[in-house]
Amino acid sequence: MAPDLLILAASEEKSGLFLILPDPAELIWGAVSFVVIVLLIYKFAMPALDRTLEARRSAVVAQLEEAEQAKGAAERLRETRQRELDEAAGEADRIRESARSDADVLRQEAIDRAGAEAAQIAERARAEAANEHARIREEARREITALSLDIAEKVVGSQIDAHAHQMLVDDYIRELGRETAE
Amino acid sequence: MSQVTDGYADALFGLASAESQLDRVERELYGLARAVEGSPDLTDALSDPLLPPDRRWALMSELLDDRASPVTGEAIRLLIRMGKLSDLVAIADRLAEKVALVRGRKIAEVRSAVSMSPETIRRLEKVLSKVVGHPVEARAVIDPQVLGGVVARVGDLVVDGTVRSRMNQVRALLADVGS
Repeated sequence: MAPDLLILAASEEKSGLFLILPDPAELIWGAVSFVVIVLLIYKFAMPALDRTLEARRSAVVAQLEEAEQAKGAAERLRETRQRELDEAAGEADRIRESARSDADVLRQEAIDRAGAEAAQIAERARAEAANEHARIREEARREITALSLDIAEKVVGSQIDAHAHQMLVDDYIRELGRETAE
Repeated sequence: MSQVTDGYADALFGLASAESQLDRVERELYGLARAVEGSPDLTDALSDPLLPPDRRWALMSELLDDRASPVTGEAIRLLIRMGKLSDLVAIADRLAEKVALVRGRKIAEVRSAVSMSPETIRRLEKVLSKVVGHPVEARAVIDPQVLGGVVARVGDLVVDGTVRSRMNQVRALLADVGS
């Protein structure tokens, strides 16, 4: 029961601001302790903290620089790709244009060739028709000639009687005689 | 002219001479040869190796005159037996040449559409002898194909005065004009 009685006695001795203020000695010791602690912290903890922060900062800066470099590399790569794409697109355009031009040339050549072949076929057909016409005419002429001569032979054969035969033989003998006389 | 043909002509010459029928046999065989020559069907039939001998004789006997010499018939049988009937034309021609040669003459084959009188044939022989420069003996052959006139052949020489040849000349002329 004695401590409780001391505290009660003290509280009965102080009042007002003194109620919340520590004891001056305690205050002094507290202040000294605080300063000591601050000095200790400043002496030992702060360099370590600074090193940690510096390391963290350096790491962040390095990461930022790395990210910046990566971004630059990516940008350059993108530009390269874009340039290659542009070149590819240009090449594709040139190829398309060349192909279109070649196709035009080939088409024109095909048209010209087809036209020439058509003209040749038409000319050949005309020549064949003309030849066929001439051949048919010649054949008809020969047949008519042969028929006419066959008829003429029959007529001549039927017209030659014994007297005509004798005359022909006499003419033959006379002609041979004249030739041998010459 | 092959040696075989020449040999058969000599054999027939000897056979006919032995029988003293050389002229008759030669003329009859010559006439038969001309008949065979003028009939492609008969020529083909006689060239058929499968035709039996008796059938060959039947074909030839139809051509032989009833008044033909038995020697001529025997000559034909000989050719049939020896398988030489297809060479009848060449053998008969060769025989005629041999006979004419014996007489110092050449054979002139004279074709006409109708038969000629002996007088006409003599005139022909005379004028043809002048043409070839050698005595000529005419063998008259009736050939309706000549239509009219006469064609004479002495060896390789042909003197054509037929209507047929003139028609052929006209035919060739028309062909040349057209081409």
